[in-house]
Amino acid sequence: MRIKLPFSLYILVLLGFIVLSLQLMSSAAQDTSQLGDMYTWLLFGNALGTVVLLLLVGFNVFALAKRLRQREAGSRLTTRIVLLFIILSLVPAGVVFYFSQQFLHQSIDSWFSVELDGAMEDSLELSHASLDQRVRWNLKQSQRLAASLRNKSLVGIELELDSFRESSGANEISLLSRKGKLINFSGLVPSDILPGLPVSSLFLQVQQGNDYVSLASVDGELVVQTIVSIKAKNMHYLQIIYPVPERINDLTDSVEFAYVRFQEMVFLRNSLKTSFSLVLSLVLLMSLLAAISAAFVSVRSIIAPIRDLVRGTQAVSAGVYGQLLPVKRQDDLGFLVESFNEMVKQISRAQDEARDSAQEIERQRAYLETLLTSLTSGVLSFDSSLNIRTANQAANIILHVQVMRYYGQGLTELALGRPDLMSLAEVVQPLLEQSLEIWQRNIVVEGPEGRKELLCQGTSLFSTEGGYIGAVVVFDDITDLIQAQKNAAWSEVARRLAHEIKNPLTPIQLSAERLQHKLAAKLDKDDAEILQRSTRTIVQQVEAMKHMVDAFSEYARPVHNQLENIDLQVLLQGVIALYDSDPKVEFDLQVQGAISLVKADAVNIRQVLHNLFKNALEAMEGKGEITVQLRNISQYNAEFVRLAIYDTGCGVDVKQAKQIFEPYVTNKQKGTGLGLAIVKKVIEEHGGTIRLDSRYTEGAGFIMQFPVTFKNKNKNTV
Amino acid sequence: MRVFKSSKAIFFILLGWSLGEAYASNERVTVKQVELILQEPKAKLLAEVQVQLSDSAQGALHSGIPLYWDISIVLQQAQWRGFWQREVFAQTWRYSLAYYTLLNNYRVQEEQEQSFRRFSSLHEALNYMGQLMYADLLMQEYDSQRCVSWALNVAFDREALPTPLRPFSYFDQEWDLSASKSLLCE
Repeated sequence: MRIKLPFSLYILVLLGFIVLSLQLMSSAAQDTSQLGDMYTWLLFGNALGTVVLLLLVGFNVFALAKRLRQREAGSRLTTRIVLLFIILSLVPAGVVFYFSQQFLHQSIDSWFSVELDGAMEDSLELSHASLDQRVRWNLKQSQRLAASLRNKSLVGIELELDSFRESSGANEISLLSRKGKLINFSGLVPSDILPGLPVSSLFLQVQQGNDYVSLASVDGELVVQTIVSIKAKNMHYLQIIYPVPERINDLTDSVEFAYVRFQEMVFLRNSLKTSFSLVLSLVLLMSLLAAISAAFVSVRSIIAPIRDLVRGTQAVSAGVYGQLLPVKRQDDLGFLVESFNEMVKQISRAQDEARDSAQEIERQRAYLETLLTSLTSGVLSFDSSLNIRTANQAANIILHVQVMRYYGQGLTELALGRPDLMSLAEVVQPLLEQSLEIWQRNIVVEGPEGRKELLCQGTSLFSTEGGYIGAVVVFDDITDLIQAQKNAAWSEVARRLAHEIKNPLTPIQLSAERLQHKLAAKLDKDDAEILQRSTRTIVQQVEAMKHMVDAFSEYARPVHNQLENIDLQVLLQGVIALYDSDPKVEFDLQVQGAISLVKADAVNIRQVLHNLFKNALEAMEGKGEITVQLRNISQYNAEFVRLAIYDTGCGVDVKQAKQIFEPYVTNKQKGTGLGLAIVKKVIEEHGGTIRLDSRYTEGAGFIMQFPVTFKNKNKNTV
Repeated sequence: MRVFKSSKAIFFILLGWSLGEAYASNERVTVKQVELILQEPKAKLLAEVQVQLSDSAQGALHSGIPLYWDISIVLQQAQWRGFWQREVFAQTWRYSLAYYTLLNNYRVQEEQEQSFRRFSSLHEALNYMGQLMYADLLMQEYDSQRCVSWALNVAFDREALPTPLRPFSYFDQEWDLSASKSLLCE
C-alpha cells in the first residue's frame, strides 16, 4: 500500500535541507576544515534548493494567477493572505538583512586598521633587520675564518674543519675547490654524508670574487648560508651554514605567519564581504520563499472549506441538492459547513415537497384537461380580469376558432377577429361582469358554417377565502337538437296529416265524382256546368292535397339507408349527364384533387342531387349555369368531402334564408316546401351538413360536407 | 509564442556574448609544445607550458596564498578501428607555487614527492614550472601495432583557493589559469 505524504511535508523537508546547507555553508566560510572543501558544493546546493523553491513558488503564483483570471472561488482570499505573509516576512527579514549586512561589513573593515597594517609591516621589517644583522655577523665570522686559513695548507684546513665548525657553532662547513668540487665537509649531524652544494649560478657569483650570504630554509628551519673564498696560493672556497638561533627562528616564523595571514585577509577582504552578503542574501531569499510557500500551504487548508462552500452554493443555485460537503474540521469553518449541509438538506426537503405538490397539481390539471377535452360542451374559463384563461377542444369546434390564441384577452377581443361571435360576446360579457352566480342564455350565432344556436351557462368563481378569481362559461351547440325537435314535430304533423287528412280525401273525391255522375244529367245546362266545374275543382284540390300528404308522408317516413362507399364524383357525373342534354343549361363540374370516398346511400344522395338541380333549374327558369365544386377539406382533425352547388337563378330571399331548410318554407308558387327539408334530413342522416352559402349573391348556393370513409378511391364504388 | 521567441533570442544573445568573451580573453596558460617519445613499453613526454599569472593571481600569491595546478597526462591507444580509446597510461602531478615573504622567494613544489625549488623571481619560478619532462611513463598493455594518442591537461585548482575566494573564481576570468592539449595519434 502506497502512503501518500502531504505536499507540505515535502516543502518542510526541502526547507530543512536548505537550512542545514546554509548552516554548513556558514560554518565553511569561517574555517578551512573539511567543510571548507565542500564550500562550493554547499553553495551550489543552496542555490539549487533556492531555485527549486523559487520554481515551486513560481508555479504556485502562476496557478494562483490562473485561478484569479478564472475568478475561481477563494483565489482572491489566497492572494491577500499570500501578500500578507510576504509583507510580514519581508519587512523583518529585510531589516535584519540590512543591519546584518552593515554589521558584517563594519566588522570586517574593523579588522584592517592602518595601525594594524603598519604594525604588521614594522614587525616584518624588524624580523628582516634582525635576520640581516645575524646574516652580516655570520658573514663576517666566515670571512674571519677564511682569512685565518689563508696561510694554511689544504691538508691542514681539512684536518681542522671539525674544530672550526665546533668553534663557530655552524651546522656544516664544506671545503670546495676552485671549480666548486667538494674537497671536504664537516657536519653537525653524523648521518649526513654529503652537504647541500650551491647551485652553479650561485657559485659563479662567488668565483667572481663576491662572497655570498643568504638566508635559506632547510627542513623548515632558517639557516644562514655563506660562501667565502680562501685567498691562498690555490683558491679554495668555504661554504658555511649557520643555524639561526631557535628563539629568533620562532619569532620570525611567528611574525611571518601573522603577516602572511594578515595579507591574506586583506586580499580576501572584499571576497569575504561578498561571501557573507551572498549567504545573507540566500538566507533572506530563502526566508521569503519559505514564507510564501508556507503561505500557499497554509492558505490551502484555510481555503479548502471555503471553496467547498462556494462549490456547494453553486450546486444549490444550479438546483443540485444531493451534494453534501465533507466536514473535515471542528472549528468555525467546520461549523459553517455543517450549517450549510443542514440548510441544503432543508432546501432539498422543501424542494421535494414542492415538486411533489407540483406533480400532484399537474396530475390534477391533466385530469381536468382530459375531462374538459372529453366533454362535448365547450368550456371557457376566465381570470379575475375576465380574460380567457383556458378553453377545451369542444369550445374550439363549436366556436370555429382556436381560442388558445386569445388566452389573456377578453371575449370582445376574440369577437373582433370573428364578427360572427360578436353576438356571443355582447350577451356573455355583461353577464360575466355582473359576477352572477349562475346564469343561462340561448344565443344565436351566424357563423361561416351557418346559423348556430348555443345554450350558454355561466357562473362566477370564488376562492376558498371568498375572493373573486374569475368565471367559467359552458356552452352547447343545440342547433341540431332544436332541429331534431323541429324535425320530429314536423314528422308528427306529417304523420297526422297522412293519417287524418289522406283518409277522408278519397271518399271526398269519390263523392264529388258520384255527385257529378248522378246529377249532371238531371240539371239544366247552366247548373250542370256549375256542378261540373265544382266537382272538377274538388277533385283537383283533393289530388293536390293527396300529393301534399304524400310529400309529408315521404318526409315523415323513417329512412332505411343502405350505406356503401361511394365516389361522389362518379355519382355527380351520372346525375349531371341526365340534365346535360338541355342546351340552355350549362353544367360546370369543378373537381379539385382526388376525391375521397364517403359512406352513403347512393339512391338517397342521388335524390338529394335531383332535388337541388331541380330547384336550381326552376330558379333559373330553365336557362343558366350550374356550377358544381367538389374537393376534400380538413377541419378539426377530420376529413370531409365538400360539395357546393351554385346556380344563376333568382337566389334565396334574405328573409327566408334562416328557415330555408325548414318544412313548408318555399318561394315557389307551386310546391310543398319540403324539398330542401328532405335534402337536409337525408344529408344529416349521412352524418353530413348542408348550409346556404350566404356570401354567394349571383343566385343560390348550397354547401354540403360528407365525412370521408377512405382517403383513396376504392374500385368497388358506385 | 511571442514569449518563447523573445526567450530564444535572449538565450542566443547570451550564448554569443559568452562565446565572444571566451575567445576575447587572453589565455594566460598555454601548452606551447608537447613531444612524446615512445620507448616501448615506456614513454617520455616533454612539454613546454607558458604560464602567466593574472593580477588577481599575483595578488593572491604575494598575499601568501599558494596556487595549485594539477598536470595530467593520459596516453591512449585506439581500439577496434578507432571506435573507442583504451587508456594505457594516466597520471596526475600536483604542483604548488608559493611566495615566502620573509625570504622574499618563490617556491615551486611537486606535492607527491615533496620536492621543491626556490626562486628569487616569479619569472624564474614560472619558467621552471613550464618546462615539463616526464620520463619512464610505463604504459600498461601497450600494443606496438597501434598508435598512441596523448592528452596533457594543466588544470588550475580553484578549490584550493581560500573559501571566500573560491566561488567567485569560477566566474572570474582572472582565475582562468588552465590549459590542455591533445593529439589523437602518435
